[in-house]
Amino acid sequence: MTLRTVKLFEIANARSGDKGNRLNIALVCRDPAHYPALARQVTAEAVAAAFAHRKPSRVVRYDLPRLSAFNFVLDDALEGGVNASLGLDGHGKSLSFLLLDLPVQVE
Amino acid sequence: LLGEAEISYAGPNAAARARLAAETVAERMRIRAPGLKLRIDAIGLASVLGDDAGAFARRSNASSEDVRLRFAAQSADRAAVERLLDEVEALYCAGPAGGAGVRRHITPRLASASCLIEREFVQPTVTVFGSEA
Repeated sequence: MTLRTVKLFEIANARSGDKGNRLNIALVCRDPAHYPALARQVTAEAVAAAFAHRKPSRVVRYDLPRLSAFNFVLDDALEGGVNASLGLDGHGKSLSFLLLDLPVQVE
Repeated sequence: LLGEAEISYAGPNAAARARLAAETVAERMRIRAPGLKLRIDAIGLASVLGDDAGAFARRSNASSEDVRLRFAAQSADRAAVERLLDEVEALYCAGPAGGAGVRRHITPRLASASCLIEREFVQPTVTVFGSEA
């Protein structure tokens, strides 16, 4: 069994959005066989590290094994959210690709 | 009031010229409107994934020869916001070479915050407006 390093975008889809100042990211494996490897590696801690510059006050991962998917909820990560952010993307819709840039090891 | 102003730099050293323009405006605004929180994005380098403090952009190794700088600030003080937009427009004549295409605008907006309310304080009702069919 050889492991190879890939970026998440090569093996998974993601979509992100907002509720107030809270960021929500769905990560869905294209191949269910990758789910266990992602479950081990794409932890809430790993996601918190990737989004550290947004200073989330809490990061929680919800697992949906039957869909081979995860839902990440990052509190206070949108710098005020859609009505208060100074940034262009107050919804955080682009941030799915910050997650998809993470490297992971798969078989 | 949300104030936004943009200016473009293109060609050789565009990113460095944009960075100098950003630093110049930031420094002048620290003097001219000390309380005003300023956000600066470089569209073409880091425009949406970053943070207000610029930590993501400083870490990024993106490069581009076509950069659009975007400045944003919000305040109830229109004069302070106008000062930012004036500073960006002044880059035409008193900033790094080749600054072009300034656009500026002020948008009124209302911020909202999410919260939970005790059930006992909530009385949901539905009202239908208009004539009955």
